[in-house]
Amino acid sequence: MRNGKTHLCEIGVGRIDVAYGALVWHRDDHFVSMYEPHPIYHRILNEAGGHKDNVELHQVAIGKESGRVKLYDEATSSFLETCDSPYSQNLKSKGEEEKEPKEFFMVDVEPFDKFDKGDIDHLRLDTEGGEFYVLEKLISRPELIVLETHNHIASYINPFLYEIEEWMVENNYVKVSVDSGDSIYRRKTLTL
Amino acid sequence: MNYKEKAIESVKRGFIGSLSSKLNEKELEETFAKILKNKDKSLDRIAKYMEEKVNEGKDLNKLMDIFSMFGVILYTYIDSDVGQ
Repeated sequence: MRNGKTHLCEIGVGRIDVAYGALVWHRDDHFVSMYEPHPIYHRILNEAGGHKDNVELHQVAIGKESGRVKLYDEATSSFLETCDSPYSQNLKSKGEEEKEPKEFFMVDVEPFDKFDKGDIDHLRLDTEGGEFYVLEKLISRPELIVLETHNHIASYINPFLYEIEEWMVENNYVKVSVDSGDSIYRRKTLTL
Repeated sequence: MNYKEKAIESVKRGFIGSLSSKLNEKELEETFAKILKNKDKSLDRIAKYMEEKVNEGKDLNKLMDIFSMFGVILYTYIDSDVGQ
C-alpha cells in the first residue's frame, strides 16, 4: 500500500490503451507507478496521467545493472539489446535471419531495488524477456504478479522461465492462471 | 535423452490434468493425437528449451512440471496457427 492506497506497479507499460495503470489511475483508492523507457509511449502516458497525484511515471528500463543501452523500436515489442526477446525468438523460430531493426533509442537502465520501497500490491511485468531482472531485485512481495512467460505456440518462451518459476516457489507464490501469453501468480496467504 | 518425448509427456500430463473431467478417455486420446499433429513445432521448441536448460544444469523434472501448462494452452489453440 502507498499512502493507504492499493499500489499497482507496471513495468514495461507499452501503449496507453493496453496499460493496466490507465484503467485505475482515476480511482482514489489506487496508486500507480509506471516504468516505460520508450520515449513516445512515455510521452503519451505522461500527457494523460503524469499530472495526477496518485501516478508516478519513470522513463527508464529495468535491468540487471545501471547503464545506457539500445532499446530497439519494434512498437509494443520494443526490446533491450541485452534481452532474448519475443521479437528475436519469433524470427529464429521462423528460420529468418535475425536482423537488427533500423530504429533504436538509447535509454537509461536501472535495477529495480533502486525504486522499490516494498509497498507494491499488484505487479505487472512485460519487459520483453527481461522480467526476471525485476524479480531478482524485488523488495516488495506483491499479492499478485502478472508477467509474460510464453506465447500460444511456444515460438516465444521466456528465457528465464525456469528461474521465474523457481523464484515463485521460493517466495511462496502459486500460479493461478495462464493465458495465451501471461502467467498470473498469487502470493500464498497463511491460514490459521 | 529424447527431449521431444519428455516435452510430449510433460504437455500430456498438463492436458490430462486439465481436461480429464471434461472429456472421456476416447476423446482425450483423440484430442491429444490432434495436438501432436497440429502442434508438432511447438513441441519441438519446448523440447529444445528443455534440452538447453538441462545442459545448463537445470532439473528436468522441474522443467516437465513447468511445461505441463502447455497442455491446456496448446489445446485452447489447437485449430489456430496449425503447423507453426
